[in-house]
Amino acid sequence: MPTDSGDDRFDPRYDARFQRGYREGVEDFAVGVSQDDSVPSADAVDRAGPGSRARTADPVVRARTDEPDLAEVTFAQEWPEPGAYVWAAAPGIESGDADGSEVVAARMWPMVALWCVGIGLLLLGVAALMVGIQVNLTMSGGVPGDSPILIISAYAWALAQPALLVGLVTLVGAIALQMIRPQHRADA
Amino acid sequence: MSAPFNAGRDEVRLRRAAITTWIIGGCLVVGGLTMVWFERAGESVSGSGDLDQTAAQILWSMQVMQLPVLVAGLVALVFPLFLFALRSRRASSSRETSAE
Repeated sequence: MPTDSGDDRFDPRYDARFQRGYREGVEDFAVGVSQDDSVPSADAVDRAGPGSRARTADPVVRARTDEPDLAEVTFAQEWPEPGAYVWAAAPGIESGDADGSEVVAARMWPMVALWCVGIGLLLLGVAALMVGIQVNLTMSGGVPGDSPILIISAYAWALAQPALLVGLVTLVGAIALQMIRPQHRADA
Repeated sequence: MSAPFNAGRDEVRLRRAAITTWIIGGCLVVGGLTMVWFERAGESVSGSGDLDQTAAQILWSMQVMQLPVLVAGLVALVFPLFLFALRSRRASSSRETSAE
C-alpha cells in the first residue's frame, strides 16, 4: 500500500496484511510490535503525530524509535514486482521463489487439495466400478456368500457411485473456484 | 488494530468447524461401509432362510440408506476444502486490491 508520500514503505496506519509485500513470517512486525522493540508501534506513532513519527516526547516511544527511524524501515526486505502476486496466484505457474510468492503458494493448498481429492475420488470410483464388474462377471456362481471376494465386491459396488458423484462435484467446484480468481491488472 | 484479532478468531472458528465436519464425514463414511458389511452379512443369512421380518426390514433400510450416507460423508469430507479455498481466494483478492 503506498503511503502518502507515494513510496513503497510500510505504513503503520494500516493493517500489515493489506500492505504490499506482506509475508506471513513477519506478521508480528506490524501487529505485535511489542514483541520487537526495534520498531515503534502504530499507536505510538499515531500519538506522536504525523509530523514527528520517529522523534516523540514519550520516553517509551523515543526509546523504541532511537534505533531505526520508521521512515527507514521497509516492511519487506525485497519488494516483488507489482504483478508478482498475480502471476504467482495464477494456476499452473510454479511459485516458491524468493520474491515473496511462497506466501501465495502456501495459501494455494486448499485448491491443490481440492484437485487432488477430486481426481482421487474419481479414480477410486472408476477402480471400484471395474472391480465390481469384474467380480460379477467372473465369479457369478459357485462362490459362498461370505467369501472375501464377494465382500470386496459389495464394498466396491457401494463405493463406486458415491465416489464418482462426489469426485465429479469436487472437480466441478474446483473449476468454478478457479474461474472466480481475481482479475489481472492491465499493467501486470 | 482490531481487524487482525477478528481475522484470527475467524481463522480459529473456521478450522474448528472444518475439523468437526471432517469428523462427522469420517463417521458417516465408516457408518456407510458398516451398512454395506451388514447388508452383505444379512444377505448371506437370508439366503439360508433364517431371516425374520424385522431383520429383513432393517436389511432393506440399510440397503436404501447406504448410498445417501456414503455420499453425505464424502461431501462432508470435501466441503471444508471448499471453505478454505474460498477464503484463500478472498484473501488474495483483497491483497491485490490493497496493492493497487
